[in-house]
Amino acid sequence: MAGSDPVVATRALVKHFGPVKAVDGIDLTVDVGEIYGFLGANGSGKTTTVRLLLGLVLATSGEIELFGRPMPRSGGEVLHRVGSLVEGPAAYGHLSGATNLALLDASARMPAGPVGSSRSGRAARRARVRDAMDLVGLGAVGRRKVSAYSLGMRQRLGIAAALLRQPELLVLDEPTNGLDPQGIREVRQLLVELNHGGTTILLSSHLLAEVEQLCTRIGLLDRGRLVLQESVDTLRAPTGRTLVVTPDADAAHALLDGRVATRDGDRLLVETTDAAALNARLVAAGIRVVELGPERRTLEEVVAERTSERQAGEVAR
Amino acid sequence: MILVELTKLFRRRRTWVAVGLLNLLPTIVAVLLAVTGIAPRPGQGPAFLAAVQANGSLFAIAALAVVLPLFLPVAVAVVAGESVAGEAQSGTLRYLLVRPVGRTRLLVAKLVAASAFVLVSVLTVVLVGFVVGRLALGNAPIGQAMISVSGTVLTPGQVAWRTVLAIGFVTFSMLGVAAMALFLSTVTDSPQTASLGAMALLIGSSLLLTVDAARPLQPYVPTRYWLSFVDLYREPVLLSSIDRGVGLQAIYVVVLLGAAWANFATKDVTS
Amino acid sequence: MDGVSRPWRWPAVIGGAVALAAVPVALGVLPVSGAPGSAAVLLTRIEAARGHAYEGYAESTGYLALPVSGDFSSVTTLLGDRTQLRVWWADDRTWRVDTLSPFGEDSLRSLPTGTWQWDFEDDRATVTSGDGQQPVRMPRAGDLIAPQLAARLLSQATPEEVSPLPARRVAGRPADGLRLRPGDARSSIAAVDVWADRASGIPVTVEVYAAGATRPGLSTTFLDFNPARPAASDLDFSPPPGARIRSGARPDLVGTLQRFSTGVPPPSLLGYPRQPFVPFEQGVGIYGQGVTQVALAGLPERRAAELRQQLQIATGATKLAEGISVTVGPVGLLLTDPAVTAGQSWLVTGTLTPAGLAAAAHELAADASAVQQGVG
Repeated sequence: MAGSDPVVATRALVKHFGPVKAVDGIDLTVDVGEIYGFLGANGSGKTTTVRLLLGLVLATSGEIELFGRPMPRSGGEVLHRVGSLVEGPAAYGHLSGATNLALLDASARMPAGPVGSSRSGRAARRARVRDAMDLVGLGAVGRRKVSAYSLGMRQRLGIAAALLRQPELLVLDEPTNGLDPQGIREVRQLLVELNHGGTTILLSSHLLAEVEQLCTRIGLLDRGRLVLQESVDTLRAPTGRTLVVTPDADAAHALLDGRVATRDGDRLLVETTDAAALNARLVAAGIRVVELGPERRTLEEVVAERTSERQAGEVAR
Repeated sequence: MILVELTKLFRRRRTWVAVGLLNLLPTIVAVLLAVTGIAPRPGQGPAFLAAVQANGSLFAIAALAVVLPLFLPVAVAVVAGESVAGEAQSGTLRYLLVRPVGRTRLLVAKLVAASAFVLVSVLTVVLVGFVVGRLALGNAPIGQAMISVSGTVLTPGQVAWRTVLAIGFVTFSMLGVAAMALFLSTVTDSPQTASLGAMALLIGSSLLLTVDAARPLQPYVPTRYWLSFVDLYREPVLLSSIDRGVGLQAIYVVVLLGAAWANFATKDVTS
Repeated sequence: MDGVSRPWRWPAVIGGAVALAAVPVALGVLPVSGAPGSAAVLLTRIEAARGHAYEGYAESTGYLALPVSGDFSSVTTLLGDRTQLRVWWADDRTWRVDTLSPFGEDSLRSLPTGTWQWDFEDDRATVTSGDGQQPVRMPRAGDLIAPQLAARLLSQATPEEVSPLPARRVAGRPADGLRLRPGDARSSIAAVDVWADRASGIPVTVEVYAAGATRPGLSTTFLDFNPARPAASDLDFSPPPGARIRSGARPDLVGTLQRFSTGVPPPSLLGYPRQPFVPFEQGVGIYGQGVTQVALAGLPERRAAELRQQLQIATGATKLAEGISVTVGPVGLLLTDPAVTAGQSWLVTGTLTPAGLAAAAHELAADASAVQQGVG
């Protein structure tokens, strides 16, 4: 495999459901080793895009490549390298968690490969299932019927199913749904570990905080369009302004006249990158400073800005 | 994949409940026959029911005739209608497809699993019928000859191989219904709708067989040759309808499986 | 993108389905080689093949809903229903005809040892010694197999009355056809189409058309046919152990009438002499030739009253001065009024037009008054 290929790439991907344009010209790229945060409101086309990537839904037009191979035509060859959790977990309630995983594992042949060939026996399958269950903390309840599982346990089972074959790419749709804070931490920890082990992760979520903490890059989807695709570092880089909070806002405003971008009560945004010099100057002028530092935007602000822009454009049209 | 489907099917309690219910009806009939001693009037009841009073072993075949017209196909329609739509409804379909399981392979595996269900059902009906018949009805010596429909004597060996053929034919006869339910199962995400649709086909074709005006259509109706398994117990065996029945079912399976494939291979799985 | 392959899938499946459904149709209309030969030659071949051995599986379909039941229900079923038959024919005295039902069969065998009838659902074998064939009896399923029906209908056919029909495939074998258009104006049969197996000359399909009908009122054809002598093992019969055995056939309606009817059929009807093979003078007379066949039966009054009731409520029944008549396809039924025919109710049935039926009734009434005048 050519290492330079992006793991996921789409070009001008369009999907119509009847008259509804669910996905409208998406160019998505996920590179090897990334944790890609796929953001968007409900109904923005996230799940449809994920389904398109996995070959569940067929594109109206455009191209999809996984590991450099066209989808869905090469699905048989590349999908075994992908683990996924799409729109919630699903399992056969009348069977135990371990049996569910074993059946899932047995349902598709392992392709003959350096790893696959040696791990297709029954014992190997049992070991794989046990490993996956242990990874998500279900080792103790593997024999219990899934119909007796709680929401969180089902979610963990879904993740275990995705991890079953040590995939190179994990496509996870809302992986922490239904988990308690402890569980969320565990899953987050697990994802970071997997990523360090070389797994590329495409994480679709509407929890901005989660994405902000985990992801190296984000794509923002709004009404079927990819309105933003940027690394988190770039988005959160200093904006070139410095935030000053001071009880002597009027004095500060007068002193820095012309360089204050905006003022909101005792919060001033000053057009400068040199926070230290600004601080020295304010202190020298006897202005009390409560807080001072380079301005960084939160993901929430970025998202709100980009999404609303689009809405404004829509209204104007 | 086929093994996986069989595991799923036969580890499900519902499957065995269906098999149990299938066996319940002939058992009730046998008990009633034994208690009341009233055999159906000639030409009225299911095949061979009149003869079982004399030879309880024959109830194995009579039981088959009891479940064949309605119970068996309904059970098949339910199981096959479940196959894809049930996976879609529970959400497991998407996880199968991204495993990845080829869509065509999935369809074939589902049909094979449904056929296995039919075979198991038919076998248990015959076995339970045999046991119940011997216990409740005539306990003639096992080696007693059976009288063929044509009035000749069949040796137990002949009865055995003809019954094996009958089991095969009945099983194959159900494949048309199974394929119909499977096709509908790819169309809708509701297993109930798929099963009801297949049952509608069943009832419709049974109805067409009773309407004289529909005679030109009747050779194409899937239930047309179902009861022809009786022909295996004529002397000499009449293969004419058996052949046609097998051919007709094969055509239904090919066409409906083709339709299922055409629909499912390019279907958007949004469940 | 797989979307490219989307458009051809459904057409491929539908095309395949149509092709598969068309296979039986195509096999049926598959052109059969050989131009239609002379109908007269074919007629001779058919006559020459009479009594030849064959075996096969046949289906006869009647579209004639006779409005009568009771004593006549077996005929009503025969002419209004579909009957599946298996036939093993060694010669005219050695044969087996099985009438199949979904759950049983009624097997009739004519053997040197006697005539055996086996009814599976009754679990009963009936044996009649000798050839056991009554000269006159009610029609039965075996009369509807193509060679038997053709022999009856073509018996008086002349080369002038027949014309060739295109050959067709019957039971997968080429068969040559001829059409008989009878010259008799009183016959209700407009045409009889017969196809005979090209290899053996044995009739394999017969279709009977009533006057003005576009589809046959009665058709019989072989689905499987083999012009070979059947194996003796398929013909032989010995009653199975445990079965009820009865000796001597129960007399059918015809036998009963011959024994109990007081009416004496006239020596001729509509110009046809009474056929001589009826051993009893009473009850039943058969007249006609070729496609024009008339049976006359003197019914005891109780049976006649029952039948009269059925005919009166039948659709298409016509009241005549001499009685009441119904015509269903090529089959005519007429029941005379005993007041007109000297206290005897006569049932006239056969392949007569309504006019023919009326003429027969008129003749019976005239005979009756002549007899009464003669007696008086």
